Amino acid sequence: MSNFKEQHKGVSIVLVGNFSPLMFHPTWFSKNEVISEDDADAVVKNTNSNMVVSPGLTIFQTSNLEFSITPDRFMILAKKDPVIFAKDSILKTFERMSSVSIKALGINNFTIIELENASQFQDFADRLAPKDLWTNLLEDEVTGDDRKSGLIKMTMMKKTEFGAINFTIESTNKVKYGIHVSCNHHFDLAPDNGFADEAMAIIEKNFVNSSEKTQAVIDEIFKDL
Amino acid sequence: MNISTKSDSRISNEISTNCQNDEKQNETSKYLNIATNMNEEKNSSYLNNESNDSEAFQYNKKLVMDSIKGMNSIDRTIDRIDSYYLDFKQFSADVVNSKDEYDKYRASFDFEDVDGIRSDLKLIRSGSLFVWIIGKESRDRTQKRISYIKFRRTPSWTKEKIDEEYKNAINRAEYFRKLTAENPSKE
Repeated sequence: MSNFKEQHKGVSIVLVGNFSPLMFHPTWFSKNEVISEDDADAVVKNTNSNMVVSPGLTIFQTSNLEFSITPDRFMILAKKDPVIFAKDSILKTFERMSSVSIKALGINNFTIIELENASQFQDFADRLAPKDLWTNLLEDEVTGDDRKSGLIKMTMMKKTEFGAINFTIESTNKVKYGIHVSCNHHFDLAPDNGFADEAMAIIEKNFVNSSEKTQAVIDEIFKDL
Repeated sequence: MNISTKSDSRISNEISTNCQNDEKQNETSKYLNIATNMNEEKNSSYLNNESNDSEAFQYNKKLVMDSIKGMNSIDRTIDRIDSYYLDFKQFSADVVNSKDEYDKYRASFDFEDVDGIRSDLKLIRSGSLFVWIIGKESRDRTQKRISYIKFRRTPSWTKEKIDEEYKNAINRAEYFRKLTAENPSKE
């Protein structure tokens, strides 16, 4: 882990179910102590906050959290550390709405790995996807540090008893020699138990584990760089 | 953050050096989970601007700094602080490594270091959790050192907690049932 930097760490929690976006006004969140009054005021009173509250979509962001709610999807995103606030916020939101229908949920950890140079960047891509089988497509761009073609995205899926873990690696332009890594822990809720209280219990139990799992996979993939 | 008091440049340097040496510290990245355990009475004395408690204990800044060093050398460590002293400007806390409950240090925090103190003041009470953020934050190609604490807004009860308490209640009931069966009342 010595030849690269991790940047832009974040976590999002996504619920799939039935929601009323119009209800989730920033003031509702502050009244229910999910966010502070100061944060809610900043969103509501700031004309540049890009807040949308409507029956089809609610979206707004505070200093460290982003909320996005549609009739079938509820998402809270912590864009930076401490990401634990994503978990706190979603648990607090559904504290008094335990009977809301939830079909599935996802805990998504993501980060950007910044490698040192082009050589390291290309070596890593070749380790993940050796180019021997791709000469017809890539032609002379199967080796070298100055390649414009190559691997763009890769997803590895692990089926689990609760759903699946999807680990995705893709290139990013946010930083030079950057690789965007995301790990989605997907949980399917049983039809007879598909309610918010069960979903919150899953989040409570798995939030830290999912971060640790993501880190373990990153450490393994990038260990010899 | 005033955990390394402004007058103590040596300790401030320790933090700075430590952050610079950690390559993962490019953004805000290290934080402590903190559980306060403040005396409600003293909490209200803060709110009422009453005088300091003369029995304030001394905390060992060096130990706290050692703890922070440990934090930065171990990724994703989450620590806990149990606080039991509060004066006019500060509250004190025991910093406990959540991975080793015996790895405990004492710290003191200024209320002014609480992010959003105006709206979060009501969160500062016995048993509440907060996060201590220490590190560097990058924005527009400039980096600045940051250190502040932010109180968490956690639900009062979760299904897991309720289930746990329910099991505890059953175990206690069973214990007392056995106890009374073994020692029947003379009546």
